[in-house]
Amino acid sequence: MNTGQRSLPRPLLLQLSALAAVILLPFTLFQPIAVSALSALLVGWRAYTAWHDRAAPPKWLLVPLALAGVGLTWLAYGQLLGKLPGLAILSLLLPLKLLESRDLRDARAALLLACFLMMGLFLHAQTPWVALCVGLATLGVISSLARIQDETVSFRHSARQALSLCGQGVPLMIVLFVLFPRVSGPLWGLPLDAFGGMTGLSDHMSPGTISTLIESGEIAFRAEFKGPPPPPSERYWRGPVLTNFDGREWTQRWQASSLEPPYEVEGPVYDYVMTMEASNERWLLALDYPAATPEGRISDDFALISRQPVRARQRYAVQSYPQTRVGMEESARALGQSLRLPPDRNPRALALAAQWRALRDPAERLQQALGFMRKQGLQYTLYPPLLGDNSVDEFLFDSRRGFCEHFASAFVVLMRAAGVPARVVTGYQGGELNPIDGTLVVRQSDAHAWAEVWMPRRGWVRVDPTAATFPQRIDGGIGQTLGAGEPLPFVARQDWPLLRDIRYRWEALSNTWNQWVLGYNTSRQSELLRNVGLSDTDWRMLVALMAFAIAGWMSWLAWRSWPARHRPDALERVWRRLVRRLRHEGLPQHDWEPATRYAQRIGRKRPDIADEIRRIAERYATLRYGAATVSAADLASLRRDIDRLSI
Amino acid sequence: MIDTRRLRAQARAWMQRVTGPEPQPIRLPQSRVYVLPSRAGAAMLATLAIMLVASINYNLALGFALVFLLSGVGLAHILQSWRTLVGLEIFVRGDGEVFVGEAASFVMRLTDTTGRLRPGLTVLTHDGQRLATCNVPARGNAEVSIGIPAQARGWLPVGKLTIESRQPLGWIRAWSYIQPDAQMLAYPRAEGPLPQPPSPHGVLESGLVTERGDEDFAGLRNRNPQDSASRIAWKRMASSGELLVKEFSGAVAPERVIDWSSLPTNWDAERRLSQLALWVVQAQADGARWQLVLPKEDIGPDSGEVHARECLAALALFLPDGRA
Repeated sequence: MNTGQRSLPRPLLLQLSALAAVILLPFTLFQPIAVSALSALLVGWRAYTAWHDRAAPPKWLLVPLALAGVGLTWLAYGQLLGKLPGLAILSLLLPLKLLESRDLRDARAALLLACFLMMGLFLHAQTPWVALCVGLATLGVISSLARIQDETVSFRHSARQALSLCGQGVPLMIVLFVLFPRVSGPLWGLPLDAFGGMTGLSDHMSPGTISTLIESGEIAFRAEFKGPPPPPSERYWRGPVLTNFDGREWTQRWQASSLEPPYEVEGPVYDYVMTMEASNERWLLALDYPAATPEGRISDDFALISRQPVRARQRYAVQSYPQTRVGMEESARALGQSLRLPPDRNPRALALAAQWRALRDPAERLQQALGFMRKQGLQYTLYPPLLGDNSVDEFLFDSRRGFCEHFASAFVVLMRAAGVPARVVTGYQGGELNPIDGTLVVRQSDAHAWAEVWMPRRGWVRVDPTAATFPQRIDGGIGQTLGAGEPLPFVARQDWPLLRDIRYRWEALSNTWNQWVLGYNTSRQSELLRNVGLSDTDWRMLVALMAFAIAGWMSWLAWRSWPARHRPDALERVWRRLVRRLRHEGLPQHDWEPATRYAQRIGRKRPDIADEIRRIAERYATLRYGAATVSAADLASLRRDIDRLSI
Repeated sequence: MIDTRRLRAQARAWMQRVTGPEPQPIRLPQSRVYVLPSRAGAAMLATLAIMLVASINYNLALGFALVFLLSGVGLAHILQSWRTLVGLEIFVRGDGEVFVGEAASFVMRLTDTTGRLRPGLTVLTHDGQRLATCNVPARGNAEVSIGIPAQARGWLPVGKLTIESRQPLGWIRAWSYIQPDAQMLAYPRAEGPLPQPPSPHGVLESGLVTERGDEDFAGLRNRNPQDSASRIAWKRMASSGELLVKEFSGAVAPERVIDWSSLPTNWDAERRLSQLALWVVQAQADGARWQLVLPKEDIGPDSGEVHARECLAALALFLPDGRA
C-alpha cells in the first residue's frame, strides 16, 4: 500500500512511543542523568499528545529543543565528537524525530533511527539483559513496520507477524553469525574514548592503588583448567613487575621480551585456558611460570605480554610450571636495579635493615625481615591512613595499618636495604572456583602485590609478606583477613549461601555468553569449523558456505510454503498420452479446455480421427466425473485405444 | 554515460513481454512475479550496511547478530511478498455500460485456490496509477472495480495492468504485469443541441405523454426481455417469485424515428453519433418505441433496454463512409 503522505494513526504513535521508551531505558544506565531526563521528557510528551489526540508541537519549537540537547551533551561530556557524546545525541534524536513525525514516511525514518540506537546500545554494553531488551525492541520495530504497511492490522496481529518473521530469520542469523568472516582489529582509527573506563592493574603502584581496585567486584579473568586447579597457595597470577622505586611510587623498569622464556621449565604443569576481560593494557596474566605460547612474548621479568593492548575479551591457552627455577643467571644490571633505593627516604627502615647485612646468608636476612614485620603488630585493612613521603617508615613504625601493597613495598625496601635484590610483583592472588561450570573466576578484588627476592643458586624466589603475616589472606581470601566490622566488598562476602548460589549460576551463564557469543572471533570460528571437519577455512570458503546456507535456507522456506502442486493421477496420465501425441501434431489442449470441447476442436481440424477422439474423450470424462472408482481394466482399455489411434 | 531511461524502458519491455490479451482466468506463474526492494527497503538496506560496518569496527558480536537477524527477516519478507502473488487467479470482466468521457468500470475478481491469505494486493495501471487495493482471503475471492477512462468510442480493452504487493513490511515490492482479455464497448458521448426528433405522425410531445401515462397503473403482465427494469413489479416478485411488469394506461408509446439523415449536413460523423446516442438514451428513458436509421442499417422499431443497447452498440461501432 502507499506508505506516503497519510497522517499517523493514534495507536501507531502510541506503539512507537512505547518502543522508543524500551530502547532508551537501558541508555539511562550509561549516560548522564540530564540527557536521559531530557529524552524521557520528549518521549513522554509525544505519548501524551498521542494519547489525548493533541496536535504534535510545531516544528519551530523543536529546533531550540534540539539545540538544548546538544548543549546538554556538551556540558556533560565537554565535547561533541567521540563515541559517548555521539550516542547521547542519537538518543535525543529518536524522540525528537517522533515529535516531528507527521506521516507514515516519517515513522519509517524513526524506525531506522531506532535500529541505529539499538546498535549504539551494544557499544555501551552487550550483557544478556541488553540483548533481551534489543530483542524485544526488534520485535517492536518489525510489528510497527507491519502496521505502517497495513493500517488495518491490529497490534496483536502485527506482533504475531513480527514473531513469525523473526522466527524465520533466526536460523539465518545463527548461520551467518557462525560463518561471517571476522576481522580482528578495527577498520579505521577509533575515537580516543573508545576503550575508556576499564578497570585493572596499572603499570605503577603507590599506596592505595590496589586497595581501590579491590572495591570492584568485576571479573578480571577466568581460567579453565584441564585437570585439577592448583591449591589456593599456588594461585599467584603474575602481572606487571615493579622494580624502580622513588620512595613513594613503584614503576616498571625497561624490560626486554622474547618468544622463548628466559628459563627452562620443569616440574609439574598446569594446563589451562584464560579468558581475560578487556583491560586496555598489554599484560596477559598467567600463573608462574608460563611456557612459550603463541599468544604473547615473555618478558625478562617472567610476565606474559601481548602484542596489542587487550581491548576485547581475549582467550588464550597457557601452560605453567610453578616449580621452575628462574633467574639462575640474572644479569648484574638487573640485580643492581633491584638493589637501588632513594637514599634520603625512609631513614628508619634503612637503618634497621642495615643491621642485618652482618648476616652472611640472604635467607637469614629474609627471615629477619619477616620476623620483624610479624612482631610489629601490623594490621591488614582496606582503609589505611594516608601516608606521606616516607611511606614505608610511616607504615612500619607509626600507623602500622596497611594493605598488601604496603606490606610488599615495605618488605622490598627492607630487603634492598639489607643488600638482597628484591622487587614488587603485582597481579592477582586466589580466585573462586565456580561449582556450576568448574571455572576459576578471578576478580579485581583479588588484586594483590607480593615480593620476589634473588638469592645466589636459588634465583628469584617468591615471598608474600602479606601471607607471611596473615596466612589466612591466602587460603581464605580477603573476607577472612579483614577485622570484624570492616565493610567488605559485596562479592567477597561469605554469608548468604542462596545469594552465592545464584551468583555462581549467573556467572556461569554469563561466562558461556562471553565465550560463545561475545568472544566469538576468528580463532573460535576456525576451532568450531575444525570440529565439524572443515580445517583451513579462509574467507573465500566462509563466503561460499554462507551463500550455500542462505540458498538452502531460502529454498527450505519456499518449499515449506509452496502451493500444493497438482499431481496427475493414473487416469490423467493416460489422458495426457493422447494430448502429448496431438501436441506434436500442433494441436495442444489449452489449460481452460475441457476434454470433450478439445475433442470437438480436434474433430473439426482432423475429421479423419474425429469419431475416435470424441469417443475417447467421452470415456475419459465419464471415468473422471461419472465413475466412483476407476478400475485398472478401464484404464488399460482406454490406454490401448489411445495407443492404437493413428494420428 | 549509460542512458538509464532507455535501459529501464528495455527492462520494462522485457518484463511486460506478454503479447496481446491473455485468456482468462490468468493464473500468475512464478516466472512472471518480479521482486525488488522498495524505496523503504533500500533505506533499510543502507542502514543495515552501516550497522554491519559498525559491528566489524567495534567488534560487536551482538551487533552482528542484530544485522543478521534483520537480514533474515528481509529475506523471509522477499519470499512472503512473492508468495502473495504467485498462484493468484485473476478474472476481469466489464460491468455496466460506458459512454465516451466516463470511466469504464471493470470488475476484477482475485481468487486464491492455494489456501493462503493474500493481503494488501494493489492494482495499478501499467504507468503506475493506483486503481484499487484489496485483501484476498484463503480459498476465497475478492472483487475490486477498476475505472478505465473511455476516450474514444468502440471497443475499450482493460489494457496492461500491474498487480503488486508490499506485504508484510513494505521493504519489498513484488509485482506482475497482466493484460487480461476483457473489454467494454464505449458508446459515443450522449450529447447534442437538437430537441427530440418528431414522431413520424408529428403529433406528440413525448415527455408529457410518458409522465401522464406512468401515473395511471393499469395492471400486470408477463415480462418481455425488452421491458425496462424500472417497470418490474419487484414487490410482487419478492412475494410470489413471478416476474411481472406494471402496465400503465397512458403508456401508449409514440413511435420515434432517430435518423442519421435528419441531422444537419455540415455535421461530421462523431457529432452525429453523439446526437443520435443522446436521442436513443432519451427515448429509452421515456419508454418510447423508436427506430434507429443509419446509412446502412435500420434497427427497430422496438423499445426497452436490449433495443437501446443494440442501437448504442451500432453507433459505437459505426464505420463512416469510405472506411466501411
